[in-house]
Amino acid sequence: MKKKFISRVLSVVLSAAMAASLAACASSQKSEETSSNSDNSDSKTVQTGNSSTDAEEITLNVWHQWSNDTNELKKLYDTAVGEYMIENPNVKINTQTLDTEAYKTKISAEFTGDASGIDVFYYWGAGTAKKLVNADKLLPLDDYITDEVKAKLLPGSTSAFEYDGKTYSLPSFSWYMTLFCNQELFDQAGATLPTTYDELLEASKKLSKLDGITPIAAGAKDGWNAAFIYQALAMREVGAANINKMLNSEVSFGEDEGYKAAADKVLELYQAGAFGKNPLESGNDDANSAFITGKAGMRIMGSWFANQVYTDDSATINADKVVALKIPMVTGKGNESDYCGGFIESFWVNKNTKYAEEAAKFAIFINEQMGKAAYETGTGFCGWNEELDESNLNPLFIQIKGLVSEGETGVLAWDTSLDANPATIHNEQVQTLFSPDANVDTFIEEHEAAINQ
Amino acid sequence: MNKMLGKKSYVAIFVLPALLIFMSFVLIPLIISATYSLFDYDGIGKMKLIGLNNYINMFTTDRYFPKAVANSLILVAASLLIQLPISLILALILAHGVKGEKFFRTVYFVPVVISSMVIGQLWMKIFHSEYGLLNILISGMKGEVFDYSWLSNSRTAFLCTVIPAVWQYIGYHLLIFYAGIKSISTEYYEAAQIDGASKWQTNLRITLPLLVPVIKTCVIFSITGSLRSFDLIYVMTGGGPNHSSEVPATLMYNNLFRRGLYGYGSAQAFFIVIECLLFTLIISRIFKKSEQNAALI
Repeated sequence: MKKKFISRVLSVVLSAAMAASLAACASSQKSEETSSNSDNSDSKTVQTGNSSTDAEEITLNVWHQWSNDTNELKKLYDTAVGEYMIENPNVKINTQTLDTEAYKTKISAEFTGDASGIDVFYYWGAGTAKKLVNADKLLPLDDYITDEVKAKLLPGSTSAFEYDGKTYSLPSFSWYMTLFCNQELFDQAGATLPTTYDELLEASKKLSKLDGITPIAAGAKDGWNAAFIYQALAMREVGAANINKMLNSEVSFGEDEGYKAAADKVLELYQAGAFGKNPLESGNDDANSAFITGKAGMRIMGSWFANQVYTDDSATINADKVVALKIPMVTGKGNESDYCGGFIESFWVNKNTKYAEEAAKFAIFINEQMGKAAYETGTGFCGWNEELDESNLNPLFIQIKGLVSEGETGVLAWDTSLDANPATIHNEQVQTLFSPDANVDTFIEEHEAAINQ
Repeated sequence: MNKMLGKKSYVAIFVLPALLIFMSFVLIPLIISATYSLFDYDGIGKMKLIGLNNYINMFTTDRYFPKAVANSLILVAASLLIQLPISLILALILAHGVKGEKFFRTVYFVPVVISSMVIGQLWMKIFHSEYGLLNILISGMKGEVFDYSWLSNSRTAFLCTVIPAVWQYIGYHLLIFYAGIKSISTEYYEAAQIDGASKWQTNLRITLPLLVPVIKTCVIFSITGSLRSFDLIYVMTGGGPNHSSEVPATLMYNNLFRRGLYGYGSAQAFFIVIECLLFTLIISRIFKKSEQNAALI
């Protein structure tokens, strides 16, 4: 009897232990923290020295996607956070990071619930954040934006962060779609730098005669790279203001003949060999690499690419011979001041945060700081009127800065403005233009079905 | 021990941990997907109950799904008609003793151990238009430059993913067959030898009938594996160009994680589960009789 009792007790203990170890596994799944709190000790000393602060200490959980230690933006973020904590000793910033794709999935998954572990987070505005706004997950910042802050914002820089008259975030830095040209290859081919579409086609034909040179590195294996080329030409054909209306569902896609004309032009370039024989075989990284190693004459890319031309270890071209140009005009159409690009990335506040005021204050602060920092390192253009240090900017970035100053109406990348489903269809459909099976009519029909819902 | 296992409470306690794992990682997610599949849901916003509409849409409004199912059936056919016969023949040869048996066994198993990502990259290099092995070979034979892009052309892309998919798991099935053949008692072969049976006859009359349960397992593995294949195709073509190499799992992934169609993607996921279960059931039925015969011997 006793033996039986012991064995019974034993078995219960054993199974309890197993269950407990299971539970332990579940809790250890929580993602690792990468605290950026390098100045923790400093902030504490400040606190003890300052007798007037007796506010309760709070912790803000902040998430962003610059997870790599070599990332310039991560360093700048950490420095800004350090400064913030010295000025606000009662606030502790606890930062966690993930790589872009994992980051997007994480944020989506967290906000399926109430995202209780997130107070402030990095995200993309316009169509991307719309889903969160519609589900009432984000905190409008209107009550926290002072007149002083408003005065510092560049005009038009907040449009991607406004929904139904409320402002959910403030700009940090913007990007600008640029046509990068390798002057040395142009000279070899006897081509002139293109300012119009016809010149672009002509230059492509000349460059394609050079041995082993792709005229335009398209990177079309990545949908958004292919889409950039179509978007650039559509912007010239249809005009930025019209495209914005289309992206906001005010007018329907296809109403303007320009959408079809732009598709025809992409196809014409493909058929002229402007993107090489098989553009769908190489993606963004391949295309960047082709350009900086002198295997491609042109690349249509965001302004962030300028940095890579100068700093990438594998770059073999003469960076000073790279020219930044506006997207070529289509003769007789559009405004030269239209451009692709704008403000889209910034920090947002979770509506469920316990510390709305502190979180909003930090979000505004970090957006301004990152805007400044991104500009000073030549990554993007600051959305704030500030005194900025230009000593570290590379010449290519300064060229682009000149182009930006001439820009008036911008169009964001379509896949950040549209909802996820039409955005994916758009990217996929543009890819079909880079293949022998291309059919412009199907392209237009698919877009109409996806966008004009 | 027997006394202990005879008691239901003990059985329950010992089964509990495994049951908990199974429930939390298999059954509950399955039930959740099945529930989501009945909704119009973007993963964040409000869920709208739409009944079986997601399932109906798969075959009516979705232009790519029927094609994806057809592709997965081609994959099934290729693995049944090409992969398994090759594995079986190789296993028969190896099991009856060849010089370097162990070496070959290892060599054939290598692709199974390598990650599908690596295999995908490897074959992408083979099919690459400029420096791909295949085109270099063709160029050499033709005497002129051949730069056809196998993977970015909708006519050939899917076929090019079928080849590595079939190739990759030959070693896997080979090993299962091999183990099955090795476990057949040698007495049968000795008796047959005394009766003067040829090698061909022993293979056909002794090995194959006794191997039926193993063959059934392999058939089920290879069918369900093909129906839910994802990784290799995702790496090599991502379902493109223009959806020509799509299989249900790549479409599902796209819908769930790129387009934010959680309800619809869940319906496709659930469809794959049902499809696999159905095929398993059918295969079990088909093999029932020959399995009974094998047990009689």
